[in-house]
Amino acid sequence: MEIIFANTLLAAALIFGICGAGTAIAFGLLGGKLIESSARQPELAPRLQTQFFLVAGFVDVIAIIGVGMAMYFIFVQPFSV
Amino acid sequence: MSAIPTPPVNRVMLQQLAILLILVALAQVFLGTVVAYSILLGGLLSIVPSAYFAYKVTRHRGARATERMVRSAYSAEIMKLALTGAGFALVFTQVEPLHVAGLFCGFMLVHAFGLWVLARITMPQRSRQQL
Repeated sequence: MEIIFANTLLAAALIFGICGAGTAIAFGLLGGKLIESSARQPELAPRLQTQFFLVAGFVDVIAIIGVGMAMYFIFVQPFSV
Repeated sequence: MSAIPTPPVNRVMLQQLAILLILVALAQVFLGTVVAYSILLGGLLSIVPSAYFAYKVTRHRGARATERMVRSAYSAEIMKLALTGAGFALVFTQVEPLHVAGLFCGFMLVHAFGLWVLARITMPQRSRQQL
């Protein structure tokens, strides 16, 4: 029972860590490219910012679902008998 | 006040709310009250953090504000993840009975619908045909 609970917590921690790292890397690249592109062509900045907003939504969707699943594992504990 | 138009995030939020209400009504009729309010909670868990993110990101517009916008997007993303996590934790601990599949279905459907609407609004017709 304790082993299952400990492994569930470990799985949740792994989900949090991987989701957070993935989102951080993606947002870092995205923000860097946006600043670079806006500096090169300032007249395109509003359009690029709108595209940034759209891509930001696509980037974090898996991370957010992962956070939800991790919370489910922690608080509902579906694997405990 | 900036003259640069804001991205149409209000329209996305309103359409997400509309599809959520339709889903809840259908679930209430065909699947029962527990599934209906689970879908409602899932949808709200998607809409509320996204609305916070949209508010923080669209505050800054224009080429000169790009750096400020990116900085506020980073902090808004952290808050979005924290709000989503706290919301799920609150729902799983406080709401009884709960239909977990309904909660995740509502969450994913509303989130996916919001992304689809945003893509339709922001991408011009010609670029969509090229994809």
